Amino acid sequence: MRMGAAIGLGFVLLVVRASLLPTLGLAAIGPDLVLPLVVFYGATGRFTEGLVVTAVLGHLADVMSGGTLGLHLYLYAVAFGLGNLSHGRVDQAGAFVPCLMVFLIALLAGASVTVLYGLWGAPAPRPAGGALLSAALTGAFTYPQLPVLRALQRIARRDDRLILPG
Amino acid sequence: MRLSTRTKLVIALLFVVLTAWNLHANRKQSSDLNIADRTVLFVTAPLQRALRWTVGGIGGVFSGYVDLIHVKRDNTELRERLAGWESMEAQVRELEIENDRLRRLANLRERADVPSVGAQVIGWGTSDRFRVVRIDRGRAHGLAPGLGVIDARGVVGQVLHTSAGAADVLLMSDASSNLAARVQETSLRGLARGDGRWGATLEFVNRQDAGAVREGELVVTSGDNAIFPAGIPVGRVTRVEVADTGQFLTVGLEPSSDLANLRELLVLLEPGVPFGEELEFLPMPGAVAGHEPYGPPLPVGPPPAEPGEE
Repeated sequence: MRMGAAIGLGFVLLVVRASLLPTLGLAAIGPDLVLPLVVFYGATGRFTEGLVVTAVLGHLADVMSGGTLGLHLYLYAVAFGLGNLSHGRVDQAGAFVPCLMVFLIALLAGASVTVLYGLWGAPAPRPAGGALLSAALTGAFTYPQLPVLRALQRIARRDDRLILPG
Repeated sequence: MRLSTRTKLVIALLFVVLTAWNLHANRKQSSDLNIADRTVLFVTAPLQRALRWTVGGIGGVFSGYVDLIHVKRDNTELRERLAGWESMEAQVRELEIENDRLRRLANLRERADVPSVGAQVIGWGTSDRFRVVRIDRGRAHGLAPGLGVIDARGVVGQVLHTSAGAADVLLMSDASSNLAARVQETSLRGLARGDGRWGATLEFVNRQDAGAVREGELVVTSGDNAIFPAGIPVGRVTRVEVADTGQFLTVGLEPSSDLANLRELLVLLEPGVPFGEELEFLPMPGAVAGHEPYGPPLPVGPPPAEPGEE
């Protein structure tokens, strides 16, 4: 149920990203609306469930991006891993720290793509200059998503208490 | 089962390595989507179309509301009516422009005399890393990966993926887009490659040919790669740089089509089939009639000698 809700939310965010952001003139510079969800799952969700959500949303993002299949799956895997390493720091009260964490993780994940393409001797799919702006927008767009992400967390904690009493 | 922190770390690392390997495997392939992925496109295309329509409607209502507030502030019924008429006039003007654009595209299609399908842009790819738009025509309309896409100004890109009722078009400004092109005036050939932003570069132009390409010159398709017929505008030369070393020039291009504001497109259904007659495309946005676009010619001559060369 919770996993389905997360995937459903991710799907809606992808459709919004593809249809509405271009009307705001943001099609070419981001932001990635799904990345905060993946980071939050990595930081606070159940691990195995998070892997599945990350894999499904990564593949959906790849299909809907129209670009190289596997790029978003890789990006989200890195973001999930970094979210997991943050030991819940993403889950701080207030909005600044979570948005900053998502910004940093988006920046690191984007940089890892550039490094990977560099190792393969191929031009990165996006000029490096756009990465910072895109990560900043991804961090900024985390803010309006925070209530929904925290609601998902509350459900997760409640479920955990039901399954693992004490 | 509860996993230890170390186990989680190892699994997460493995996950990243596997996805990187998957990306490496997919990077050089440009095959069409499988049936499951095509289903995703099939499901999302109507959603995108509906959202686009809804946003357009909400935008209209919102701007009407804002107009109304201004009119109330003036507190005269006459002005309210006037604003209403002005709003309607603006809508009519917008419709006229759209009508004109569609008429030109229909005219282009008729005169080109090659099998083609008109399509509308219904959305953008979900990533800022790629320059991809989604159109409302797909396999059911005869589209297949690799077909050329143009608009009334020139080359737009190529069909990348298709589902039954929608398709993704890779724009010519995408970093992975390549198409055979030539300078119209001098027939100097090169490869127009997207720069990943909104522009492109003409590559593999020898430095010895520096005098044969100048700023402002029109670059058109050469017809060599059997995707586009020869002579379709690709873009104008914005800069020609002769580096100190290296065999090739750096030639910047501004695409003919307004790639950031695409609406109606034409998909050429038979790759490389020449047009029935020479077509007249719309001028590029911002082009001024009578304006001399050519910059000063670059010096012609042999490249400077390499250090140590006799």
